[in-house]
Amino acid sequence: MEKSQIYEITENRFLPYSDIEGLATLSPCATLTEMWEFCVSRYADRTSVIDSGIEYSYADVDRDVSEFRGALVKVGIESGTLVGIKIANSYAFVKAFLAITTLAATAVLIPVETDREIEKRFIAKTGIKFVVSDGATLPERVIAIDVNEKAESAPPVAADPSDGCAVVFTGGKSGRQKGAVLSNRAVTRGTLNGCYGYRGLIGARYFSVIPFTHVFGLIRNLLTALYTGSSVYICRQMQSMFREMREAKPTILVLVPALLEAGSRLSRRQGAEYFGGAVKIIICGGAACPPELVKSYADMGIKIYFGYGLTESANLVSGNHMSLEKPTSVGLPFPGQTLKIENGELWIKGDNVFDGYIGGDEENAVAADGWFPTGDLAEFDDDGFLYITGVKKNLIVLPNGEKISPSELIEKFECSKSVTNVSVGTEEIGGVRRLVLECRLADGKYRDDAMNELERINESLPSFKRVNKIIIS
Amino acid sequence: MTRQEITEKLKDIIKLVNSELVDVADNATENSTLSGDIGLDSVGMLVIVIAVEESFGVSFENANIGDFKTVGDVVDHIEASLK
Repeated sequence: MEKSQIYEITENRFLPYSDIEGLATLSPCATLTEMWEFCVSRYADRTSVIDSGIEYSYADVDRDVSEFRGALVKVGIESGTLVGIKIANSYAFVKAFLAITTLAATAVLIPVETDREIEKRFIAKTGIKFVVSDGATLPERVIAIDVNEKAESAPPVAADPSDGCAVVFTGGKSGRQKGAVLSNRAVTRGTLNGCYGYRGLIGARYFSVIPFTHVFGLIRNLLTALYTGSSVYICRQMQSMFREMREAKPTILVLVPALLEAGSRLSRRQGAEYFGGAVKIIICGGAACPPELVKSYADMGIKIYFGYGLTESANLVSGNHMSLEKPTSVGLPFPGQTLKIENGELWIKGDNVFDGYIGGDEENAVAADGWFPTGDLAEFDDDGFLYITGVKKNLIVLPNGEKISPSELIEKFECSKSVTNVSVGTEEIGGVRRLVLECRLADGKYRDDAMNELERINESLPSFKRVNKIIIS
Repeated sequence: MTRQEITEKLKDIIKLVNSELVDVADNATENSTLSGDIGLDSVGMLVIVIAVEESFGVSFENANIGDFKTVGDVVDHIEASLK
């Protein structure tokens, strides 16, 4: 039987590459309440969020957060309450998230594109009573709270680091959506890890396009920015992102490989100016980053730092500041974790690891001794750099970071009586993965009817789960 | 700009943003499906939308990109936006 190899990460090997002066100004925080109080006290007059042409200082945000906290308290929300947020990336989301978490309540992040049936089942399973929204359609039996409600300011509430901070949807190992519970300790640890490995930490200009309901968008893009006194420009429409970048002139971007790919193709004529001319660093995550992309951006003077992480690890497990020298590695593990490789699979333990899935779904949850099996196959090199070598869990990871369960898709398409032998796989065109459905025409059925039926089923799926090609043999 | 000119310029954009699609774009008609015949995935579609906005000076801001199934659908939108 293969032995486990355990790697306890005690040394912070990112420090020589980090902004040491900037790090020294950060107050250690173990809860969102502590973190936000630090941010307001230190950065009060700095720009915090830019949305729809309006700039909000940290003091402005704190005033609005305090008033919305008052509105939440008025309806009975208190420490430990689960409160849903169903709002797209916006100032309103930021306000709602900070108000809920600084009340020591738990923010349950509901993606606005969630399938209605899945949302309804999830809310019933978790017993969420309150959902904050900006007018989105909500299931019956929840108390809708308008994010524009105001009341007399309510003070923040001290949380315990072990208290739940956020519940983030993830496909986990099965591809079926579950809510991962992240404690205050895990979220603040993830936020701190995002501060290591690069210069220009304090007062940077971030640009957000990754949904805040995704742990990469929430922790690496939003919270690390706030913790470091940086501004976050919120881009609401992906198709205008590069035009808005040229107006906002960000210094740090947080992107998934699919958006890096789009930027690389579109910027061929203008180079770095296409992104506003001020970007020096792009943090890339969510899926594997092709080495040729790292090179194409380096040629423009932009360094890509890519890493590896999971929703269950409050985002970052490892980060790669040596992306040009070790382009196939996902970098060095961040401190405060212990990693082990068991039968080729990576397991993690540490302050950043989640508490389990909400609603009692114990499939693949954290073991009693704190170890979490990631479902990814990995190995270390002699320098301590981590390499992801495969996926134990049966999922397809798309360039936009979304994970697709082939078995879940097959189940949907097998509802059609016109086809048999359904399988879902991928093919590559131009280096980009496409989802492909293959099946056999059932006896006595017509091909055109079968195709129409399969296309209807495909259209009923969330856009990121739709197959790109249907082959009926 | 005539509809034919719009279609040809759109095909040039497709070829420009993905050199792997040159042959496919050359042979495309207005009925060619973006996903199936042209082979655009979500990244490809995003790239095309951005390039069309920048090249034609039109906006997809109020459009549901998921509704664009064929080359003709995109040409319809560009044509309507240019009027």
